[in-house]
Amino acid sequence: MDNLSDMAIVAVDDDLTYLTVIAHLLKKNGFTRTRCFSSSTEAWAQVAETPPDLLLLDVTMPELDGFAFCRRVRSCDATSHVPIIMITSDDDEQTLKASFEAGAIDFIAKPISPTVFLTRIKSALALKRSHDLLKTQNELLTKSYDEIQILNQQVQRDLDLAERVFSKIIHRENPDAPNVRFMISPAKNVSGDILFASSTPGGEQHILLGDFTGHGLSAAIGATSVARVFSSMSAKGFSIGDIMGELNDQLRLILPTGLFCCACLIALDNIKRKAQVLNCGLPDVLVIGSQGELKRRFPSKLIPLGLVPIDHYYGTIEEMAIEDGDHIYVYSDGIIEAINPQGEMFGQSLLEKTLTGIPDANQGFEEIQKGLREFCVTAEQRDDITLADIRCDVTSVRCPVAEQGRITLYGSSDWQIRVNLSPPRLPHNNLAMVLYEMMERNEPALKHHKTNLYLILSELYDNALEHGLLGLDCRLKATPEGFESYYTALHDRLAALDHGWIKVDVLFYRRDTGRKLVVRMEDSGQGFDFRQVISQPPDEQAFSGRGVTLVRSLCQELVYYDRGNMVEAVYVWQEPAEVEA
Amino acid sequence: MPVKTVSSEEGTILTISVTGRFDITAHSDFIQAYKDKLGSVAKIVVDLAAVEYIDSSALGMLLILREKAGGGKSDISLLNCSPDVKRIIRTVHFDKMFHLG
Repeated sequence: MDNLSDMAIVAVDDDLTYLTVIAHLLKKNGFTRTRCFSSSTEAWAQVAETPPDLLLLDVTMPELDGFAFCRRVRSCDATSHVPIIMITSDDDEQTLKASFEAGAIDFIAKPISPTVFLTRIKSALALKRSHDLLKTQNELLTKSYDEIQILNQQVQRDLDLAERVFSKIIHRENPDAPNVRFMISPAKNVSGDILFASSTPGGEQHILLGDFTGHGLSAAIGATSVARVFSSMSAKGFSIGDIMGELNDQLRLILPTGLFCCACLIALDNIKRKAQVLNCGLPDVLVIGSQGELKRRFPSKLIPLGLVPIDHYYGTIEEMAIEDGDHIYVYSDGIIEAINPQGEMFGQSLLEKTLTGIPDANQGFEEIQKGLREFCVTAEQRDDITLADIRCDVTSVRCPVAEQGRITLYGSSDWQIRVNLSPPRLPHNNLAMVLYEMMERNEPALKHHKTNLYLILSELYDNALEHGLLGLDCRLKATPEGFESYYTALHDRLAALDHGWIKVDVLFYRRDTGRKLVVRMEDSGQGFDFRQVISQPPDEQAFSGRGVTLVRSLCQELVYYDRGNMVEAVYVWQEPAEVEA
Repeated sequence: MPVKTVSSEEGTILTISVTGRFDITAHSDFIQAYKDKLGSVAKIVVDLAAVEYIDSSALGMLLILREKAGGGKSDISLLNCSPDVKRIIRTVHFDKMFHLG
């Protein structure tokens, strides 16, 4: 048994003789923390202040008797757990019953027998000690259980968040690639695999498959960045070498040591009938001909993204001529390493056998899914499995679709001007004119359209600057006074402008059927609800809100994208000689 | 000075001539051109012969001029518009509120 001598005992008895006996007995047996009181009221004050481990109470006392003391101890939170032993000479049934009812746990008869006294006291103290221990352990358990619950909820929330972030990216980027079939089968609820498809202004299709080490949040963080870089660069017509370089730089910044991303970028040009492949760490990309023959294999040429700085990827891009009906298969290693219940892997050779051993090359995707199902049966999936089947097909070239995503134009532009402006080069006093002059230097015949082009450029620029970057509300201009204060506010905010950007792209297309000029303007602002604004009938008396109407009247097409912070105006005309302004 | 104002001898016709870019850069000049001069004026002429470009803020300024000159009771002519300017003005239906010439 534990050494109980350090436990605190309080003895209360108005009979000083007994009190002395008790004190002596306790002291003799090694109890060092004993307090004795002859006044019960004084004792109560002390007990309430510092609860002891055991209370010894005489039953008959003046002022506060033993029973009342007992009830008081029980009803007070600080002392309710203190065990009480009653000490009395009236050891009749009645007193005994009353003692237990008042909350005592034991009873010692006077005169006190030292042996009985010490045994009872020790057993009461031992009980108290184990009770205390249990209580402490319980509190610890409850606390750590709560902590674990909270941690668990936190992890679950993070996972949910990751999943939502992830699915948002996937759903946003994938819908407009009818020639790409894919399966993404995560091993856990959040995949570490990503697949994006995008179209370039030049009509190429870009496909990116990435496999992050790890799953969950870390992969999702990397994936958001990859999605942004990929879709914006692809939409601007950057080559897959440029995109891969930027992805590598970005991931090196973001990913902690030990995390990286195996990735493959494919550029498919269905018009020039060629495919470019840049494989960094993924299994061999396979090209299967329409007869089911393996036409080409693109093994990994470089280490995965996010590990080391790489100057450029140009020497590593491989190219091949493609034909209608060719299929390009790109996949993560989860498919090769999928195991069956016997622990064997699906393997590269079975994959290739499945793809080449079928009469209809268009069935490859289904055959692999079927093969995997039959192979794995009930075995637990250990890694994310992602497979994309890209069919080479002229009809898959996307046509411009308003408000649905980035525009794809047929063929490449004849020339292009790109201007990126941010403070201190912003605000630019005369951007429309500078741009126009650059354009006219490229294409002197544009002078017949000077007024229109200037108007388009300046209206779009003013909107990007005033509403996009400076956040000015054009409803301010509803009254003549508001018109004034709008321009005062504009002046003040222009002077204070210290961040944000405006990007302008001008693309010119010379075709037998006519000429086309595309002005694309994007700003770093919040955008606006263009659907609502456009659907409203113009107020002819209003002092503002006419810019967009004017530009629209001049253009074949005026389309807002994303959150309304990107606009694209398409201006078309016939041979300059036929048009006299 | 891109904006000039001439009042007729009797003071009933106010002619405002705008030169070059008619956009927000002409804002304060344009307001100065008619400020405190509209009292006895019966007719306002805005001469756009030398205007190279016009944008939506210029259209807003023309509307404010119209309001200050009495709104529906005003008599404002936009003179010497180039075909481009004329087309822009017609696009926003300003030909219903101003006399085009």
